[in-house]
Amino acid sequence: MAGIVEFQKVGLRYGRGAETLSDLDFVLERGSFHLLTGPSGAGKSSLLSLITLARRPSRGLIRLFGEDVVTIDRARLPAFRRRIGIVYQDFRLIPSISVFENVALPLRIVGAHPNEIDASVTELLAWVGLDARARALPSMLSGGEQQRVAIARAVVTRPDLIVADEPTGNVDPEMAGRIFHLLESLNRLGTTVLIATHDIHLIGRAPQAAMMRLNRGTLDDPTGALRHPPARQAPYP
Amino acid sequence: MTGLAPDLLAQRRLLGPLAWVIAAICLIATLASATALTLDHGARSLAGSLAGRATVEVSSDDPVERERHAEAALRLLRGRPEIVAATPVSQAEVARLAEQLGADAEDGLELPTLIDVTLRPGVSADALTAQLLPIPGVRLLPQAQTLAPLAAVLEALDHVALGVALVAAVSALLASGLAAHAALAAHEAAADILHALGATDRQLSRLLERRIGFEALAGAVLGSLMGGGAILFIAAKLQGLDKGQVTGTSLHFGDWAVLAAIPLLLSAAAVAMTRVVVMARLAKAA
Ligand SMILES: Nc1ncnc2c1ncn2[C@@H]1O[C@H](COP(=O)(O)OP(=O)(O)OP(=O)(O)O)[C@@H](O)[C@H]1O
Ligand SMILES: [Mg+2]
Repeated sequence: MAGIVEFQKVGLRYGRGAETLSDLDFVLERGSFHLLTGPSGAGKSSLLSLITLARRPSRGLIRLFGEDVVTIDRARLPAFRRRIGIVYQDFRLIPSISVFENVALPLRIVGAHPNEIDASVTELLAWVGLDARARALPSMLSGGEQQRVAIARAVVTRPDLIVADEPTGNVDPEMAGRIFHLLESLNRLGTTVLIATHDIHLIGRAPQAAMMRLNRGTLDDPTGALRHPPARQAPYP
Repeated sequence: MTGLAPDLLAQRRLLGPLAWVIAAICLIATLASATALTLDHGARSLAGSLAGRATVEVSSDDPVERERHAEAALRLLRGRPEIVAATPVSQAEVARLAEQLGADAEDGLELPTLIDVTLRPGVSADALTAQLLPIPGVRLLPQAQTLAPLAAVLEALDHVALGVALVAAVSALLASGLAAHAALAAHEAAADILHALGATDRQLSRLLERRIGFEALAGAVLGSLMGGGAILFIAAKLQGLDKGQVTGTSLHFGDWAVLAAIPLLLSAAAVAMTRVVVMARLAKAA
């Protein structure tokens, strides 16, 4: 199976209340590009947190890269997480280290060679237009700049799967376009991309992306793309 | 594998409260250990110097008769194969001892003649009692017996000092455990991010171990230096007291090595405790 993410009857409940997510059934194919939309509070970030292994579901089965990750031993989680690049809605940069070190962090965690780290981080920072701010602390950056750092950190290891929560929420339309273009390019190189967003412009920019709509914890499948995923799409214009 | 940079975990001060707690604990542990070692030497040297020794007391109201009996006892003792040496104690020394025991030389009390006897190893002083019986006014004072209460006091103090050192070690462990808990809580956000980026529990734990190990070592070295200073100060004061008293009240080279090892052991214990606490806490998370 080429499914990189597979959900079967997945439910998530915070505490004792009603389920925040219910009966989620879908497959994200390797190399696909998905947009996850839905009103605020619908559970988009919650769904992403299940995929990124930040929490385990209350019920159901989740497979990542073909393996059941619900009952998986805790010691094996880091290996899965290293294959996923995450852009958080609230960035989650580490405040005590420089922009450069924040972007380098995933590479340091996997024990990459310092030369490789230098080259990759420098290149990515230039790409998101922050090469001049490499030595700055995150707190010295604007919201949009921090978001670009978060994106650089998410892609620096060339992960198999990129999960981005509102990656263009704090940037101007031009930077939003650049970020979207970066994610598209990575997708064309084979990376599976899932973006949660309210951004109408972003949605409009990707008519070929598979849409997922969350509504009060359940998934609509307006295009039928989830149950019957289209074949690998042709490169975008 | 290259470690993660320690500055991942923000820090307001170079040294947190743990350093000061460990400094105090290390000071106590150093002083208690030094006390235990000193008392141990004291007890040993006391036992060693007493085991093969006895004192023969010759008393009589008539000084001439006393001298005669003393001569006889001395001759008898020197003729025995189990006696290594028999030396009369000078009258001046006897007078000094008597004074120490509270007797006044002006009392007109006749002082006894004392003979220090060194026995062959393994020979009990009791065996001499029968030999000396025929000479009137002669009594055997086995020193080990007269000083037994002192030896017992030394031993008890030694145990108390060791106990204090142990309590200090346990306190260091508990303080490190608490500090590890606190550090993990304080750095929860950074820890969550590192986890999400694929860091293992061991990688995270190592960051905290390094932080807490550094604090503990800094504090322990400080406490150790203060303790060493206090010991040298007391040793200087003891120098005057040591003359003619029970010897062996000073620390040997090996003892200083033991004392120097205390801060290292405390820091190692702090690191080990951090690892246990952090790994256990992380294992409980999702
Ligand atoms: N850690 C949590 N504990 C308890 N409830 C939570 C937690 N995280 C989210 N929720 C609840 O789950 C629901 C879905 O939240 P979630 O953040 O997933 O929504 P969202 O679709 O990402 O919203 P937004 O578009 O505003 O980011 C909300 O009602 C929220 O209050
Ligand atoms: Mg959200």
